[in-house]
Order: sequence, then C-alpha cells, then structure tokens
Amino acid sequence: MKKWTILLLLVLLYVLLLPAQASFLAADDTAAVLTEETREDLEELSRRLQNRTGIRLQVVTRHFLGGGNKAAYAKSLLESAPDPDNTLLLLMVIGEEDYTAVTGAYAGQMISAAFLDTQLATAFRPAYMQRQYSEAAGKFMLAAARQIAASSGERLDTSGLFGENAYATQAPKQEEPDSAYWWEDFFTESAPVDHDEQLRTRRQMEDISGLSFWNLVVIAFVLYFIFGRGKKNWDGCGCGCGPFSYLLAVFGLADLFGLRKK
Amino acid sequence: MRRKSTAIAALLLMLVLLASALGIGAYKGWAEEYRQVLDAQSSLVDMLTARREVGYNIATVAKRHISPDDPLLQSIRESLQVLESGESLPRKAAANQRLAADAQQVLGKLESLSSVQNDERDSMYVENLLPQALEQSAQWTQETLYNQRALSFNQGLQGSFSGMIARLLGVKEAEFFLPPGEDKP
Repeated sequence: MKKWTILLLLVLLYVLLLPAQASFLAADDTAAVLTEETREDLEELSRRLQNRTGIRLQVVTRHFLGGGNKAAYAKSLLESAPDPDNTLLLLMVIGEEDYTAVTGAYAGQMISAAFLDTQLATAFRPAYMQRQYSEAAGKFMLAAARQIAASSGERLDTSGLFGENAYATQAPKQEEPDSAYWWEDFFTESAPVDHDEQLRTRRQMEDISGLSFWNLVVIAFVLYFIFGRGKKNWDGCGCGCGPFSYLLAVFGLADLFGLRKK
Repeated sequence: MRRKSTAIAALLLMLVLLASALGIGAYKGWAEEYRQVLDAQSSLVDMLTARREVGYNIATVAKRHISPDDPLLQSIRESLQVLESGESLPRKAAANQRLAADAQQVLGKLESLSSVQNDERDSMYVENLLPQALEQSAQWTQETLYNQRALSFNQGLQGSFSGMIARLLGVKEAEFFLPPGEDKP
C-alpha cells in the first residue's frame, strides 16, 4: 500500500512539473476566408521562424468588430497568445475592410512599425482590397518573416510556402535511414528533423509534449527501487536482469500509450 | 414626580430606538433588494451591447451601398449613440426599439440593391449573418427578466409599511426598460 501511494505521488508530481503547452494557431481564420493551403503555409512559416528566431506569427480573421477599436482588439488578441512578447499578429476584419498588425515587446525589436506599415500598404493592401485574402496574408507574412530573420542574423528558408519555389513542394519526402540494429529504434529517440535545410515537404504542427529517453530511464529505476528491491529480492542474481526488465517494461508501456516524445 | 419623568424618558428612548431599528432595517432590506435589481440591469446592459454591435455592423455594410446621409442610417447612428451613452433606461428602450425597426428596414433595402446582389461577400452578410445576429440580439433583449424584477421591487416598495419607510429614507423606485409612454409590464 505504501509503495502504491509513493508511486501515485511520484506520477502526480511528474505530471504537475510537465510544462503546460498552450495551444497556438498561426491561422485563426474565424471568418473562413483563407484557403487550407494558406493556413498550412502560415503554420509552417511560423514554425520555421520560431525555430530560427523564437518569434511566432499569427493571422486572425474576423467578420466584424461591432464598432470596437481594431488596435485595442488586436492588442487583446496578442495578450491572449501563449507568448505575446515574441508574437507578430495580423488582424484582418473582413466585413469592415480593415486590418492592423501588432507586435509583442521582443518581436517589435526585430521588426519596426515603419516596416510593418510599409508592407501593409504595399504587399498587403492591394490584394486585400481585391479580396484576395490568402494572397494578402501570405505576402505580408513572408515579408515580415524575412525581415525578422534578417534582423536576427538568421537564414530563413521559405521555399515551398505560398507558391514559392514550386519544386520544393514536389520533392519526395525525406525518410530516415533504417537502423543498423533492431534495438536502436526501441532505445533511441527519433532524431530531430526540424533543421530547415533538411525539410523538403510541409509538416503538420506537432505536439512537443512527451517523455524523453532519460525521463523513461529515471522512471524505470524509480519503479525498480520501489517495487523490485523487496527483502525477497535483496540477494538477486547480480546480472542486472531486474533493472533491465523494468526498463523494457517502462519503454514498452510508454510506446503503447504514446507517451514517448517523438 | 421624579419617577414619572424617568419612566417617560425611558419610554421615549425606547420608542426612538424602536423607530431607529425599524428605519434602519427597512432601509437596509430595501437597499439590498434595489442592489439586486441593479445586478439584473447590468446583464441588461450586456445584452444591449450585443445589440449595439449588430447595429454597428449593419451600418458598416450599409455605408458601402447607401448614401451616408440616408435618413435610416442617420437614425441608426443616433440610436447607437443613445445606447452607448449614460441615458435613462426608458430612453435606451426607445432607442433599442428604433434601432431594431431601422435595422430591419435597412437590411430589406440592401437586399434589393443590385450592388449588394453582385457582391458575394456583402450579400452573404445582408442575407444571412446580419439578420441572424439581429434576431438573436432581439431575443436576448426580450428575454431579460429585468422588467419583472423592477416591477416586483416597485410593488413591494409601494405596498408595504417597511417600503414606505424605506422610501422616506431615500430608496427610489426602479426604472423600467420601456420606452416612455408604454404601459408597465
């Protein structure tokens, strides 16, 4: 009973310590004016930019604001974002034919208000007033993302997004090489493939929560010390099969319940 | 003699204390009731905000197809100003009714315009989104329990002894959310 209580407490403690992952949509298209490709491209562009510079992009569309102030509304949307300081938000109010862009504290250092105004007037507005909402959002965000990357001294790959470099979207999906030994896949984490040069196709936005390899090892040994080292088993055979079996069990269960970080 | 004066003084003190207790109790009780009526009024204000937003949205679309000097649009603008201001409830009720009527007329007018019919986006607004929003906001306003609460409060204030005392001590009747001249609910 005592062991189960300790185990439960450890699990609860671990869950509480896991960082909360607020959901984030790079394209909050309530007005349903953006194409699916544009929404996917915005998600991908935001992800690539965040990987390089830590800045996120968000496009929000609404039909009307009911007489409300667009700047105040955009500010309230920005403040409700998971990371307001590192976010650039574009608000498109379709029914009012109005728009605005706001930046968080840190994002504002990467891209000036003057640049945003210029891009809104040149890259965004003509397409927007022609009701080419996807084109308008894409052009503006591409320009903004490049400017942010340049300010950060980073190189941003925008190939395959918003119709640029069409060949990039047709390239075959890169597959990871097969493991030389069957147990490598079981014990090792998947190699991260979010390096821009390696990307040839669009990825879906991934959930980054989950238990890493070393998390699982720690859990296995904690369980072993709680349950495996009773008086009966104190004099074990010494070959290490006890802890090893706990490791196998924990990794197996983690894969079964999808708890491992990919 | 001395005993008699003491007794009279004690009696007077008792009557004063009794009257004070009665007055304080009546005032506190009815003031609390009035606060509850004001709470209902705050939810009424929220509903009117939704109504006002719909009015703004209709005016926004209408401006693209109708002259800004159109009497209907001007009337809508005036009604919206009243709803936004700190006017009395009866005036806001009148503005609310006017807004509903004018908004319906504007939507009907817009539907018949060729400029709206040739505009996919605005025709969607005029035929679907805005009428639905207007109808929804009308339902919310009609369903408010504020007038019932105000009537119940006023009847109690008028019809009870403690209410009479509370009125003497400054507790006022609640305003109805009805245009001037309309009968009480």
